[in-house]
Amino acid sequence: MILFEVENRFLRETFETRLRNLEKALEIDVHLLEFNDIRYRLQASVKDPRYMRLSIKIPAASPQVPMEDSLPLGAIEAVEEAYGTLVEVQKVPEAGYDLTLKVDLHQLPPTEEERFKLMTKLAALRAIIMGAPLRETLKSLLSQPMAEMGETEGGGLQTAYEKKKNIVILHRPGEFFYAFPQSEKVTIVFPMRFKDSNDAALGVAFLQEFMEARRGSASSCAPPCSYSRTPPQELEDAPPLEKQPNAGFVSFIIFRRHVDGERLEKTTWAISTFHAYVSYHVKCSKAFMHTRMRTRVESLIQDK
Amino acid sequence: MGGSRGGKPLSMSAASLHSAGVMADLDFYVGEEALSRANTHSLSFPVRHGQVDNWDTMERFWQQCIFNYLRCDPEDHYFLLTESPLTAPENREYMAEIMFETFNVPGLYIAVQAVLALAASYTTSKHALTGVVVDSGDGVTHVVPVVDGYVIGSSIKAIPIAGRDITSFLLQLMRERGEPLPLDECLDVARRIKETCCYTCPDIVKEFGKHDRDPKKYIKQWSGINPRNNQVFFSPEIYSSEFTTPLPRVVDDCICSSPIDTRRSLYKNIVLSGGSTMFKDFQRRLQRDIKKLVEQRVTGSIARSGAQEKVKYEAVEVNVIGHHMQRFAVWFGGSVLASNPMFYSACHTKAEYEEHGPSICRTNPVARILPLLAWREEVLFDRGWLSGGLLNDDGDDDGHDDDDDDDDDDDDDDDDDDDDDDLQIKWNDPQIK
Repeated sequence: MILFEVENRFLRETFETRLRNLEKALEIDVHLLEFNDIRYRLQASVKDPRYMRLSIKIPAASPQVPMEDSLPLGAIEAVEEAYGTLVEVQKVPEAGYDLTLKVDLHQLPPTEEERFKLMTKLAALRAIIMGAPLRETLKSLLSQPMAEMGETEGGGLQTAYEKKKNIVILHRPGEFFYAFPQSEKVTIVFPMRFKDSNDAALGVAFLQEFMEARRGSASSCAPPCSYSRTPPQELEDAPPLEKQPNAGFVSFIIFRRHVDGERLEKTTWAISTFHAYVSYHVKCSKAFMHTRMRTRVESLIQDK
Repeated sequence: MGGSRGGKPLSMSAASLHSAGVMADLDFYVGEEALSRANTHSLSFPVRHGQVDNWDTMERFWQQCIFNYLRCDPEDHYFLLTESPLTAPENREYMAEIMFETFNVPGLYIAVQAVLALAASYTTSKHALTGVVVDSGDGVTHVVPVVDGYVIGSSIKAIPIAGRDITSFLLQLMRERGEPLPLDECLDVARRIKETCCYTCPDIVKEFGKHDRDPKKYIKQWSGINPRNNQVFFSPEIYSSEFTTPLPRVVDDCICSSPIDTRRSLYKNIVLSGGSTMFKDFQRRLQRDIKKLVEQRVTGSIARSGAQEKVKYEAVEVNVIGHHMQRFAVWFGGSVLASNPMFYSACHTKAEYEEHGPSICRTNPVARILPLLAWREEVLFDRGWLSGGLLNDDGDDDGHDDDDDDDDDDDDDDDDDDDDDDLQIKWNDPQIK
């Protein structure tokens, strides 16, 4: 596994089990927890077999991040757009959760294939919600007129973006990243922080390699990426960080070609789970190093 | 919560392939996914006979469990790992090193599987944590006496026959019959037959007599395969010439070698755990055979003493207990334990590890978890597991028994890397309000 799957496997399987037993009433009450402190609760009751309830809790916000009703900006709209009439957003979420969706099993699409696709999408609820602000920002790239960006109307647009500068997006408890929409591109800046000092050292090495790898010919279409131990200049007028990151800053520049069509979702997911990605790979590298160390020790023992 | 067992608890297969390539070290799968890719990847089983045999693949197995299946960040969660009895303390240290150094877990508890299995059966028996656990998974069968939560190490008996051996026995039978089996799938076919068709019969000789009279009854037409009785445990001589003590006798010996004051309560509470004890009528046959052994011995010794009239003795109660959670008993016991908010106090924390080194994980205090286990009934009730409605022991028979690392944490998410059987839903709701 290189990238995290978008949907929660267990949630998807639970939904699929429900789909296969549509005529039966099932009692389900599942609590799940995912990386970056996302919690799910999925319920179905025998009494009311038509509906299932899916609740989600996202990490608590910090004051710098604008939220509405403890959800990221635009989350409700994104949910409505993604699921249509299948779900109904409950006005009062389940106690202890931030959002509760009521899934109406009578509104399922007619074919099996579409149903499973929709269920997979439901299992990816966190991507829809957490990615909402970023997705909106990236979408603005698509709506920009391509050609006349430059001289003529560029000035006007530029000022429009001035106002929306520094979009701060929450991605894990107490941590956030920045998106800076500019003309024709969006710059994303991640302050990287690790709990463990060893992890931080490995993280730095990983990110330097990561940047090098981007320069290679194989990934020339990927968003340009840069890494520095000091804050990049974009951050100069951003609100100051509470804690200095211990593993520097990573920035990506996203162009229109990265958000065309289906790529929008992929890009959004990859960026909003970037920290989890790095931390996963740091742990993988440790395991890899341990393997090398064990082999080395064995070879030394044999030599004697 | 993912399951498993073994030296570490795990009897799933992890496949790991090192094909050259940039991402070669990430190109591996575990569990069922590994089995289904057996033709493109090389298979390896990190746990053999209950002991971790290959730490490289074990570490990757954990990595995959945590990140791909549980999808949790190990830095946020306390972990409960289980090990088979008689694991060397060095193995525990090694486990602790991997968990703390690679995954940076904040806390770790390593529990003995037998104790957890016993805890899981608590609902059906009202004993404190005293009993004999017959734990039979894929690699090895253990008979473990536990008194008040402590394992009596000197009396543990291990039988080198378990699920894998039954599978290969079946395979051997089918080969003898000349069944046309595809070479690369034959193990899998045998495993499925084991899970769907095998049963325990009361008497092997009579059963063979019946078979000879009417062999058709014993051959499933659709597959053209002969399901045999699961006699390997009761008459091991039909499978192996090296180990010929039947299971009931092993259990009996195990109890007889325990301290004399505990024997009665041990007989009273013999608990089954693990996938290879799931055969039909296994429990009845075991109970009957042990009872027979005990009665023979008692009447024999009374007769020898020549005092039939004078001695009044209280019959020894023999109970073999099977229950709904039998197959996942260890997982279930672990889940109950880890759901308790006091679980954290029993764990070794990362700070302690850094202060004292991995040697602190050699011992994992049982005393501190005892009160936690007593708490389980409310939990079970809370989760609806006791009400009966949710538990149907329909045969879910797919393959691997066991789960392995039980992860737990404050909110105790659990999810299972076992796959899609309906039971799963009921299995995985960990949280207690």
